Amino acid sequence: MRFEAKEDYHSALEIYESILEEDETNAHVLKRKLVCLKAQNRINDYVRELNEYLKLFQADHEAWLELCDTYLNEMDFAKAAFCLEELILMYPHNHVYQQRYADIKYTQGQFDLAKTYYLYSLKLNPNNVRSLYGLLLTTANLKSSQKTKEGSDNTKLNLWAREQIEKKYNDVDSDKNLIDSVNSLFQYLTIGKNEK
Amino acid sequence: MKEISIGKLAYSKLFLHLAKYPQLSCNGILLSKPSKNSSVKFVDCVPLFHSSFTLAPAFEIALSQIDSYCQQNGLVISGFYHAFDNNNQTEPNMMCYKLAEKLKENGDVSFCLIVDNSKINPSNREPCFNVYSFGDDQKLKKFPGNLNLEEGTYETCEKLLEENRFSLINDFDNHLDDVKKDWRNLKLNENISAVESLSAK
Repeated sequence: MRFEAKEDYHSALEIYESILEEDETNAHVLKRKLVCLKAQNRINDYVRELNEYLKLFQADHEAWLELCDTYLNEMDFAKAAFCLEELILMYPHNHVYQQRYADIKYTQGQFDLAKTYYLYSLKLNPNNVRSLYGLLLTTANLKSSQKTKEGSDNTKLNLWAREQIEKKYNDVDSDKNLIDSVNSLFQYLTIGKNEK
Repeated sequence: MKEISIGKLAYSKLFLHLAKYPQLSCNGILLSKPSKNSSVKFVDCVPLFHSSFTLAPAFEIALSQIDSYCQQNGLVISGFYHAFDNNNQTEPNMMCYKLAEKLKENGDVSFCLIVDNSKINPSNREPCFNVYSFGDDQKLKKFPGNLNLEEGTYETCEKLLEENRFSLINDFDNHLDDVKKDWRNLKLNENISAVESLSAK
């Protein structure tokens, strides 16, 4: 690690390789090897090695999160979504993973799926502000394609999300200008009752 | 040839944001007063995120609220800054390009300030970023013009660092986690002004 701090990655990697020759499954050393690659910005190698690491240690949720973040930085949303799916399978009651998965689905344009996962996240934690905003955004984006019962459900969800967010801001006594900013956002995103 | 300048408040907040999250990437939006001549002065900045930069929902919410804040205060969004977590990365990446493109669609000017991690310490007495501008040719190019900093900027940053004020800055990520934290950092703006008056010669 001292070599790493001095950016002498070649020497650091030699030491790690020699430790791994004795014990291939030393997770700590495997991770240090990965970090050397990341520090040198060798992203392709880093992703490949991290995938190999996860084949050995499938339950390491931090590694899955790290892989997800790396894919997101490379804008590879499909693979990032896969990583989060693994995490949701491991921790189905974690509202943060559901909400982040919904964020990725929203970014990919899959608003239906995003809405579902925001709702799961809110069921687990109704105070998750990102999920409330996410619900507001997805229902607003879905409004133009639904004229049926689903359409009216979207309207109700949109209104509910708006009320919850307003309540949050009022509960912390936000000043008028901030509330105005939030309200102008609502005007843009609210589904009116007289929508066709 | 355009000239850009950056005010103490904008630079200090940018600096504090980087100081608060030294191990992570950070980004934020730069605001300026609309001007008729070809110079741009960044007067304020809004720190945005320190994680998950490529996700759309939080971004859309942030930009809407910042837009409204700009209208309330007579400002325009004229650029953004991004600091990479990797020490050696100094060129804008695809995400920076897309963001610059988006800002150009909605405004006249779009500047991208990429932080050079080796120059952040204010004792260097040089700006900690490189400026790129998004031109009409849809390309993000290094900005060839002059960059001016307001006098006393580096001294203010040093003082803020000494007094550990970086824990006071709130970015949009903090706001989404706890609505009480104000992304406009109005109280911090006052604190920075107070430091300015102490360090003014």
